[in-house]
Amino acid sequence: MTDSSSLQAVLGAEMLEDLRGIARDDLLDAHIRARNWIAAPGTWLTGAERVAVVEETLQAASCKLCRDRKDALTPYAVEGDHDSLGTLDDLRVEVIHRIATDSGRLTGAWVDDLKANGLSDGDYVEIVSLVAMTKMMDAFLWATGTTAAGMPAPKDGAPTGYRPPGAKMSSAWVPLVAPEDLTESDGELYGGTAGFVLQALSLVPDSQRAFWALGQSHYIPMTEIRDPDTKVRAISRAQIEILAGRTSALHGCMY
Amino acid sequence: MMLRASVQDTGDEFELTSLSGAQAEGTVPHQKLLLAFAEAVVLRDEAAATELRPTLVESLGPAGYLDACSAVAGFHGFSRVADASGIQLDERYLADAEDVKAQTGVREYAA
Repeated sequence: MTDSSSLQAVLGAEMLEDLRGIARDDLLDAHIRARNWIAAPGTWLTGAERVAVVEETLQAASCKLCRDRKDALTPYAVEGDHDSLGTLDDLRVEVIHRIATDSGRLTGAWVDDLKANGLSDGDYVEIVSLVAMTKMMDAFLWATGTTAAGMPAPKDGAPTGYRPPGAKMSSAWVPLVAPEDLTESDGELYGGTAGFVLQALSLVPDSQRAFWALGQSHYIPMTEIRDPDTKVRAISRAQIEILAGRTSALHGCMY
Repeated sequence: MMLRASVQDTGDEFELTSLSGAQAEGTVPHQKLLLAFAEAVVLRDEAAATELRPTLVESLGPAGYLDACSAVAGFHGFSRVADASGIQLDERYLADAEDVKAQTGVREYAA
């Protein structure tokens, strides 16, 4: 039985930091690190552009075109303009809004069309990581009924433009870096496991690392991923997978 | 696949169809509550979440409740990365996938 003061402390928290001492420190610290990482220059986007991606991701929730598309039998039957903040170009806004609001119905043809219209694959993968991290952090805030301080101010500097020399098209819509194609300049990416979901962002190694640092703190550490009976969290692995399965199903994710 | 493996470790079998909507109480403790909470978060159903939170904290404890929140949140990100990159299912899951398709009846939705 949970005592009333504990109940009040966890349910009465207004800010994310109010959960300090109740939530895992690694989880709260991961949020802080992720936000600071986003505000810094990335691989293909500047700090200002990355913060704009976060803001546009949150904006997508109130986009009428996205709502109409979500309700339609196919999103491609509905035309119009996104209700955007106007900071990013239309192509990036389309990417952000579709991934944020209807990721289960994306297609390879849609990604090819983006590339044909001038969006680089590196730019696309970096945006995917930013949208996914934003949705993850925002969902945690919503689930706990808390809010976070605003995003840090963007940091000046140029994107690195780093592209892994071993990246190639194989089992996805974007190039991947297979474990055997990793080079020293890519840095550590996979540890002991390298399933396709871990390779998905490998075209932008810095984004892959940042995404999974945040992801592991929400889910379970990669070192435990193959252990169906791991007890690293305060709920069982089966309970975690119930939540994972239902959440993924509602997103239309078949992976 | 990990759900089935983790439940089988307890000597039970999990009814996969519950992931597609039915919220019957099953072999996993507080299964119905967890499924309902995941749904409330994904659908941003404030009324449902407000009603479920105290029961979750009582049932799972504060740390368990927060780990439930973090697991649901995590899959708001993982699903988007998987879907936006178009990755294929890993080979080691392919055999299980056929069984899962049969159990969940997803083929009924095929065009």
